[in-house]
Amino acid sequence: MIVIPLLSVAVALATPLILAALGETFSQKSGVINVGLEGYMLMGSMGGYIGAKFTGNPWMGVLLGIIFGLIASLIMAYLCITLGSDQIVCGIGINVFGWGFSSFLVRIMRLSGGVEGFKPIDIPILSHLPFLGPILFQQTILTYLTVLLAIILAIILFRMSFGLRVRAVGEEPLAADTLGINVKLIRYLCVLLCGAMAGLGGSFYTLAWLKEFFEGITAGRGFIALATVIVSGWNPYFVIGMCFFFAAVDGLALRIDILQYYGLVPQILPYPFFRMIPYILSIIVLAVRKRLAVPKALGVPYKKG
Amino acid sequence: MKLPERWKRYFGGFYGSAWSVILGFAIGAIMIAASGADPIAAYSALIDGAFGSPYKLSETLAKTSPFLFSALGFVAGYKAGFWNVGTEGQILLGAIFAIWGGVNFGYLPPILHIPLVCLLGFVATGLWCMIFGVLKAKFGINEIITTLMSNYMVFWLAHYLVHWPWDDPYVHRPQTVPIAASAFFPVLIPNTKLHLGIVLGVICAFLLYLFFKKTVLGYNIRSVGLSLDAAKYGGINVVKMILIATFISGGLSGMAGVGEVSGYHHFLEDYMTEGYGFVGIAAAMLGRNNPLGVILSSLFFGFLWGGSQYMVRGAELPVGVIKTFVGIMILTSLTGPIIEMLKRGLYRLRRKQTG
Repeated sequence: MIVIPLLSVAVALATPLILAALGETFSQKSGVINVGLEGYMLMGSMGGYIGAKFTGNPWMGVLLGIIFGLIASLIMAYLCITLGSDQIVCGIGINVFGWGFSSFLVRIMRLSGGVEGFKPIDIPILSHLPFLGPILFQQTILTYLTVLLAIILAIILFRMSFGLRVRAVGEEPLAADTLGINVKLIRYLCVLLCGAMAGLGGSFYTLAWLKEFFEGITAGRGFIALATVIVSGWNPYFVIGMCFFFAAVDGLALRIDILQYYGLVPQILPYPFFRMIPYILSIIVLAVRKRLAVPKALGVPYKKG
Repeated sequence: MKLPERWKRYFGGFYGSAWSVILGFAIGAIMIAASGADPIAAYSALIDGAFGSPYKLSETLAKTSPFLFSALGFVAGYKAGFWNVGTEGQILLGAIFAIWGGVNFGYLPPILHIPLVCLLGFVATGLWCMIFGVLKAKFGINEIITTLMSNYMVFWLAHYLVHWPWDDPYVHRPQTVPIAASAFFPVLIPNTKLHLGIVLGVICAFLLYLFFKKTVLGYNIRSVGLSLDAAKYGGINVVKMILIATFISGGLSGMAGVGEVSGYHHFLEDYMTEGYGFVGIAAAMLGRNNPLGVILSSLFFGFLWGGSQYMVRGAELPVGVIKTFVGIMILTSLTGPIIEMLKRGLYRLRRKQTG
């Protein structure tokens, strides 16, 4: 059965995408578009690598990954929310900075080689289920953690007053301000949440997936996460589904040699074409879905009158 | 001394840019010092690497050329309110078409071959960018997302071409076959890297400036960028204007790739133009989206990028420092409002003191 390893890879690869995309959902719902998602993820994977390398404990890596993601998002939040600069340019700056800085820091510390990282955990009983067992219940702890976080964040966004405030700030910041909601504070929290989540997602690559670090390790996955948020119309449940789908395509690209060996994919289509699919699909979905519930104040800095 | 109004208008933005650059260098110095290297030695290596000898200076100018083209490309879109953040991919696409044209039409004399390659790169990339113009103008799809995604589409296409069909079998690294010598840009000063690209870039900058300043078409495009609804109400064909702007925007970005292939490398490999598009956007921002200001800011980034290579060697810093540095410069170029905040703070302080 070739399908089982493929789907298992898809679930694993969906983990960082879901983490980053859920953070981005919050941030965009509050009116700040984080184009620098790739940069946060790179900072996070660098933090994960350094933390795990120094202490030998992958949890320290997770912590450091989150901290580096937070630092990068704090820069973004200060420039875009406090100073009211352009969010797109700032995001591009964060991407370039994160890209360079992550490799700079690892090289300057003269770190190389692999890290311990997380091992897959077999959940008792459930992991023996036919078909579903190896796909869903033999993953690393980060994947299980992601499921938990996804549920919590979806509840916060739709069922709690904080989520209502986030949405209000993203739709009508002036009205929200009039009602006594601190617009800038809410946006700060959302951007920092996005940074922390993307940092955690980035650390997945160095701690649970590749277990090493090199320049540009996330290879454009941050942009895929950004696309999923918009393609899914800012709905966290759709975001999770879309992330699974894109991760499956990504996994297909990684395992393409197996498929070609079995003759399921013609030799003429090597993996670069499969790596293109998420980007092409997201544009097509955007073109087909005419009416998206764009947060009205998305990308507009809020200045007190 | 009181500056005349006209001068103030020209140099008003200059203070902000100067502040960004100084702040960027200060943060960079802290970072270099924290990593255990000597910032003064690093910066002198940077300056020496960029301007130290005629050859190094020519390398700086050669690096300026792609940044200038991609920045102009961004500006052309920006004037129509089209955020072309796909310059990164468009540069690569221009390079792909330069390779195709350069390899296939080797029987042409240089006087025909060079313009053909330029035209091919310009038109193909312009049409590519126009797709996203159509998506925006006709279907109202946000161009920022589509153009960002387009970067990676072109990246993987180039990756495929470099590794499979166009791979040079005589070179061990994955890179394409070199283009025919008739498609090489002429070198302006012998034994240097200074090629035709920078001259073309400066000419394009002046043409773009005149286009937006003096022609009716340029005026119409600018009015679409300033206010879409007002332009529509004023009877301007908004869709047409956006399509023209995206064509120019993509074409100019593509020329950056053509210049890199025909003028500098003569082949294509993975990551050859990595980051150039984003640097171009940064240059456009630092140059306040003025085609003439962009010449200066691209020169600055050319200096930074070219000189950093020598800084890496001179101060024994890792290669990642180049992108870190450029990233810091992009971020500090957004800190202009801090000056305003300081000014306001000073004003308040003074008022308190006087009573």
